[in-house]
Amino acid sequence: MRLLNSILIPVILSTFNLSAVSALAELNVVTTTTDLRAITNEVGQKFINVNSIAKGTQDPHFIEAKPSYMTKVSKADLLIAIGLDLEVGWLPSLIRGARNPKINQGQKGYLEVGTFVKPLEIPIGRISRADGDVHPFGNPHVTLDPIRTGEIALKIAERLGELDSANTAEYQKNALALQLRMQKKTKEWQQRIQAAGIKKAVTYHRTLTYFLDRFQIENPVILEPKPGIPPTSAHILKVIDTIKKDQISLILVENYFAPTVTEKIKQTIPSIRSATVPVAVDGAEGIATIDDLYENLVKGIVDQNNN
Amino acid sequence: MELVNALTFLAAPFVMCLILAGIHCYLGLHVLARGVIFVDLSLAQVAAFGATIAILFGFEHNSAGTYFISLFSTFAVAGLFALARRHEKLFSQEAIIGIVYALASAAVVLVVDRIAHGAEHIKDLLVGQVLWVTWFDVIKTGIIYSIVAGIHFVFRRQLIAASFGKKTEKTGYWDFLFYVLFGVVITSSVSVAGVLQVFAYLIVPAVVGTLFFNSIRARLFFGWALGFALSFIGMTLSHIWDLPAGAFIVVLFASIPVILLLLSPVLGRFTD
Repeated sequence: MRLLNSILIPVILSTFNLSAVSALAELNVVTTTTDLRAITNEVGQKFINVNSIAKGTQDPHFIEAKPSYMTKVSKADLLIAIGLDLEVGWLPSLIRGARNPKINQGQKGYLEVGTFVKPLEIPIGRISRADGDVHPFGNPHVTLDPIRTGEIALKIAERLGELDSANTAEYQKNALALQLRMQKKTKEWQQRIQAAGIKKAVTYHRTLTYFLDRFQIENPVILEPKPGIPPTSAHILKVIDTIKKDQISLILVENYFAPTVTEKIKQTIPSIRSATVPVAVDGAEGIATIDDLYENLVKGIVDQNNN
Repeated sequence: MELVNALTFLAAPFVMCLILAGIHCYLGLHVLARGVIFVDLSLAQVAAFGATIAILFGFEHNSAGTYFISLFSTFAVAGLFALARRHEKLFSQEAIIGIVYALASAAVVLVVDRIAHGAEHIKDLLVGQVLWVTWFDVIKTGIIYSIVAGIHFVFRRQLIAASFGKKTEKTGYWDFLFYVLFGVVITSSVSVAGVLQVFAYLIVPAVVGTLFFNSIRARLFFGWALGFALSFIGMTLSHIWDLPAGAFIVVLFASIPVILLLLSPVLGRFTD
């Protein structure tokens, strides 16, 4: 009896200790997009648990508010967003409603990664609603560039280190590993795309700007007449003209959009190839990691059998 | 060259508009006579909901599977409406129709939460994608609508009596046939032109025709002429002004009765 007591009680007490320690150590992280979730997961590993608000199949510009989002955010230690006005339509009210002082803008628990990675397509001059859905601080779809993803990983590791200094070294290590892997794979992807000879592509919206820029594919025209405005007949005729003049052989359509416009273009230009592609982690079956995302995009561009 | 390009591009959508104008003007006269204007909007929204469910189950946008799931939903609700007409004393038919519209619209938002393409899909459902129809779509629609028109022609006495005349015991069956045929047309139209454009084609030519003429034939011919003219003007102007075609056509159609309404003090002289 005494032996049991002398074993049982220490065992019970030590489990309490362990759970107390792990409850303190595991950070609750919430990201706005699945790409950010994938990156954060790799950086934080078992020291954090991370959830994404948007699903991979949703256009992150438009998120319908759900009560579960507020619950997620109210319990978070760290909220990671892209910024650059990507989530401006829904995130501020979500933060207000969650009433979690840790994740307010300006606090350590709020991180916007977009501005740190040299945004592209920053508009010059005066902009207004007449130009469509323009992002005044630049194109926000930054996680579609593997190299920028590496930089974002480092930024996230830095912030995680500030919140959880005990594991700073781990976070740094994981982030560097991710960055190195991205750099290595980018070279391979570059070679495959160059071998395929694709130099120009048409897209529906300017989602793939960073990806195309990294792999030196021009994007001279998009199917939207202006960002966020659905295609009109006059504009599509201009697109068809440009395709013929520039001899563009590929239309890449983000899988948020219906393929009907592309079908119509293919009727007018039977030789053109189109590929519907997911543009976020979890955007389609089999796109579970950020590597899958880029690999799938490269395949979509390179694979001549795609239609 | 640019004009030829534009004409080739816009030819199929324009012919589709003509087909829509043709069938919907006639059905619109029936709908006006029955006094249930919202039935089109409601059934169209149910068809849109059916199409959304089909996408949830993995069917492609233009496939046969989507059409039949959409059609099935439309038939189920059409049956509901026919039932409501039988029990007019218990339920205001207009109330049921309006409630179903709200139900189907909100249900679409819920379903869309579960599928990709979400927000874009809802926009497409409302103002449609008539610009992107192919000749295949046009021919397919033409054949379906010819069959519907044929049935309406063969049974014209009974169907017209059911809509325009007094109720008899047999009316229930003809009501059901009317709503079934109506459902077939609406399901197909909504997948092409969207809920609002279908509503515009159904109601506007019929309303204006009824304003100026007395006989069904005269209203029909006038409605067709108006529908064809407005389709042509709508497509042309939306192309020149670079505006979304579907939405522009709806605004154009719907403005006509509003303008006529504002002119009603003067109109008394011109109407029968």
